[in-house]
Amino acid sequence: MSHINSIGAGLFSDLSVAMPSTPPVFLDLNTAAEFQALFATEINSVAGTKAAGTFVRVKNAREFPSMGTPPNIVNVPVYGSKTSRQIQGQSDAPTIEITLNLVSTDWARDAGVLLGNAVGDGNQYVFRFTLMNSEPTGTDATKYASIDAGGVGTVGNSQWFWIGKIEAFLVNPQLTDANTATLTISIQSEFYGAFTNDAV
Amino acid sequence: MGKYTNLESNVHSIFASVSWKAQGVITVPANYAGNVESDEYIRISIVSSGLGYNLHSVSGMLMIDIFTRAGEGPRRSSVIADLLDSYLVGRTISPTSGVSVQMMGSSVSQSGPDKDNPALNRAIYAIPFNYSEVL
Repeated sequence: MSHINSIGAGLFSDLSVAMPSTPPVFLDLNTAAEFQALFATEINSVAGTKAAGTFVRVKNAREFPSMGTPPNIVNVPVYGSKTSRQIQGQSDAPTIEITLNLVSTDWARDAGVLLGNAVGDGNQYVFRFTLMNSEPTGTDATKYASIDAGGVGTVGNSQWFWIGKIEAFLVNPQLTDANTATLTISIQSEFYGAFTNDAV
Repeated sequence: MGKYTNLESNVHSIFASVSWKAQGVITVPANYAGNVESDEYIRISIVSSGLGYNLHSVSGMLMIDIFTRAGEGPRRSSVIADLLDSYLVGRTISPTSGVSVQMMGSSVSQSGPDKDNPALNRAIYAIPFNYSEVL
């Protein structure tokens, strides 16, 4: 369905982590097709079986941070001018901290729990953030896949990709609200996107 | 068409769909004067009461009266409310580029016997929406 062409809330926005059986060559990843091929089949965090193109969704997100490269505007004095000029300097990488409603089973360090065991394991992963205002109309393992027909391409979608690590998982116990957790992901590449899938 | 007519057409299109009609729940719009010869039906009212994202947008509440037989408890109202949820909650109706109606989460309250027909019980299903047009 291509990029979103109307104004609305990103109710169905999604963060996913590629979990292929063999890690990709990260330096070779540049294009939409290369990234999207890593998000072809959804598997569960609990007892999911890794294979080519499998990915795990980080479910129950409560709040997403800003996604993309932040600006770092540097003012440059210009002699004889009433105003200075500005240039884009090298930006600091943003901190990706996602607040989740905590479902502990997805994040346990038990054997076979993919997300729980990825926290602090030192391995690089490919992440995908998908902005969606509508629920994809596909089903099962391809509903949130980066594919045209039967995946996120069934609704308006914009996807950003980056390479990083799952650095920390901080649980925030709540006595009168839902328990939450803060997931911190480091960024070790540029942001790639916005890409899209289009079922039409 | 203006935003209110557009909004009304888009919301009513859900209940005009073949899929909804197949559910067999009699559906009438607000200000319908005909006689509903049934002891179970719903009535759709669109309350455009809030600000939108821009001058061509509006937010509000879709209020649906659920009428069921009086004296038989809340279960049938809940079943119809769940059915409405499956058609409305989180749905975005976007018939043309740049126009959308986005539905949020719903709530239901029981309001007792209908004042016009005490043989019917009235429950009120409410769901907030945002209607928007790209300028």
